[in-house]
Amino acid sequence: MTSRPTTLGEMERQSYRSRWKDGTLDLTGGLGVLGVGGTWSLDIYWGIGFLVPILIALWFVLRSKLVEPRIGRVRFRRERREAEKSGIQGSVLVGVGLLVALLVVQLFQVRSGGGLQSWADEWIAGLPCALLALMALTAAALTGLFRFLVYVGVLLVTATVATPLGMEPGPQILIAGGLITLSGLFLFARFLSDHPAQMGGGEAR
Amino acid sequence: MTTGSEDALKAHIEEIDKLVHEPARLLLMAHLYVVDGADFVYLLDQTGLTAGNVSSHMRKLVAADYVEMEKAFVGNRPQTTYSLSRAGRKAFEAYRENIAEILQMLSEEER
Repeated sequence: MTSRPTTLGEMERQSYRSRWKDGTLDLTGGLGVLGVGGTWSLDIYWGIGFLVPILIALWFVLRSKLVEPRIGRVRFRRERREAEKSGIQGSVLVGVGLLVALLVVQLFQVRSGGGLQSWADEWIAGLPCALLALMALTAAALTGLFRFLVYVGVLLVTATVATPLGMEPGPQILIAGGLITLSGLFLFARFLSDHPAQMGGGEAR
Repeated sequence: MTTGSEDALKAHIEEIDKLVHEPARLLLMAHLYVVDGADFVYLLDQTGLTAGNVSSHMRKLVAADYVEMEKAFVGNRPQTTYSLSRAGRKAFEAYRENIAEILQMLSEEER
């Protein structure tokens, strides 16, 4: 138990937020961003399509094998479950839109061959990072966690700083993804050390 | 405090549900009140109580029909899921109202 909630509503919100304290969402999200950066750098854009199911599977395995044995399972009330479902549907829509937008940006970049106005040509390299920031923003809205807003900042700052330096989108995404993955690893390691696995001891018989 | 209101206070105090009034059980019931159901490990994690404590208090709440218990196996592991019964929800709400009334009666300000 971390801090004391003052109302039943706050108790429920705190309980919901605590379901995301393990860092697995940060870790898989960070790996996802790294994956996008990697496929972008290697010019294998179709690889992004394979990333999504792999990351979802990884997240489910981490949750069911390492997280839930430590913090248990809970079924929230219907209103919360419906809000979560809408949030996930929204995230998926944003994700699909993002994927399409990234491919369009890449095509635009390749086809334009420098034919855009100079400022647009310069800043288009920062657009993929900015689009990924949008994805992090939906995660922040879904989980209600401040640290996802920090990831939005990391992605936007990376794009803002690296683009004028002439850095390509791939390395920009790799840098931001690396930072998010490191944060996720730190949170996950801390979670595992703070929450020893419950071996079913004391379970009501 | 007049005799009439003293009697009312006494009546409210006598109405206190001792099963809910115990601090650890009150905490467990509050956590179950805000969700539809939760397993044993969740209650341990959220309340910070020991396994023995949670186990013994949950047994009492189940025996009083305030909590419904469902046992299942997830993989090879036993999983016990708890949820507040209708009677448990009513008892928790009645307890809150009663305590609020008592505290109001015991406040220093005139009503």
